[in-house]
Amino acid sequence: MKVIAIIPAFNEERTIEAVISKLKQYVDDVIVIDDGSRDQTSQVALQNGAKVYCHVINRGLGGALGTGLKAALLNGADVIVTLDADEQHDPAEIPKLIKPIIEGEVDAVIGSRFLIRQPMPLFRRMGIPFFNFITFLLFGIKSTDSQSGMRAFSKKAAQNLEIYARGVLEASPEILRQIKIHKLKLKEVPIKSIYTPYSLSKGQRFSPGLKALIKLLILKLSK
Amino acid sequence: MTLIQILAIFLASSILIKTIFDFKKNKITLPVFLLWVILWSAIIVVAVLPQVTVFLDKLLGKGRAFDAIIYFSIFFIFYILFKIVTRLEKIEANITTIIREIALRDKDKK
Repeated sequence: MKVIAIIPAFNEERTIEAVISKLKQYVDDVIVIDDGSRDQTSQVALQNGAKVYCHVINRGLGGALGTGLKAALLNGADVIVTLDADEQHDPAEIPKLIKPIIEGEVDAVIGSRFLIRQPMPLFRRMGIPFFNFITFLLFGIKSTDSQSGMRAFSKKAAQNLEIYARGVLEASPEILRQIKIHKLKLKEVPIKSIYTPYSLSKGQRFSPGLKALIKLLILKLSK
Repeated sequence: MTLIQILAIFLASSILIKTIFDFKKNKITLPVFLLWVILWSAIIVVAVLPQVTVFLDKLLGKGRAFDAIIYFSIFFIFYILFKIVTRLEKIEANITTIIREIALRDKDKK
């Protein structure tokens, strides 16, 4: 079974090297989607042995993930793992994440930060359940962490998902929606969340939240 | 004729003329063209002959015509807004498809 990790990255030259080097022992291949970065993200990723695909224009998280899934399939992936480029996820949890897929139990696994008690900034502790609720309300999918960036997909799941959503906040609910549409089996696995000052500085504020909310509503109404 | 009538006629006819030119230059589609022509012509008719609103009054009840126009306008604006936003989303998705194709073709190239 070939396991490929895909990392969507937008101006992450500071952390991408560490993320790739920690990842290597857990996966067969690392693919970085450089989403129109203006810094050295793709060069650093290439030097560290990742395969790099570059978006000429920034397309947002959903766009980058979609490209990542297609790229992974082109590289012969059987299992695909997605991670954030800001060191928020611990690669050591990958074996646990992909186990249900390797055993053929499910097609998609979401790493949830809410299945175990752990410290988390208050803003997210409140914000994420709110988005879980919205995701449930609009698309009828129950999730304890609708905003998680750590996921795993089977080859079948990757072939079915068509992700275009632009923003960070609406990309994850969009993935859940597609999982439901294509009747893929989903499982949640508890993961740790590592909050570094760097990853926090990249976190979400209120106004993108509002924007994402409106976009999800439009998505619901237009389809 | 009051000032507001003259102003309405002037504005509506300028927009009407621009619409016709846009249509001739293929900038807008036929349904959109027809919609705008009907809308702005109606405004000109009401401005020139305010008596027609009396007919609307009779049809809808005294004083209700203005309400009906406001309701219709708001509905219409929201509809157009929704159309525009969904169209924009579609364009965004199409752009992503193009960028994705380029990325997949030019592996390891910045």
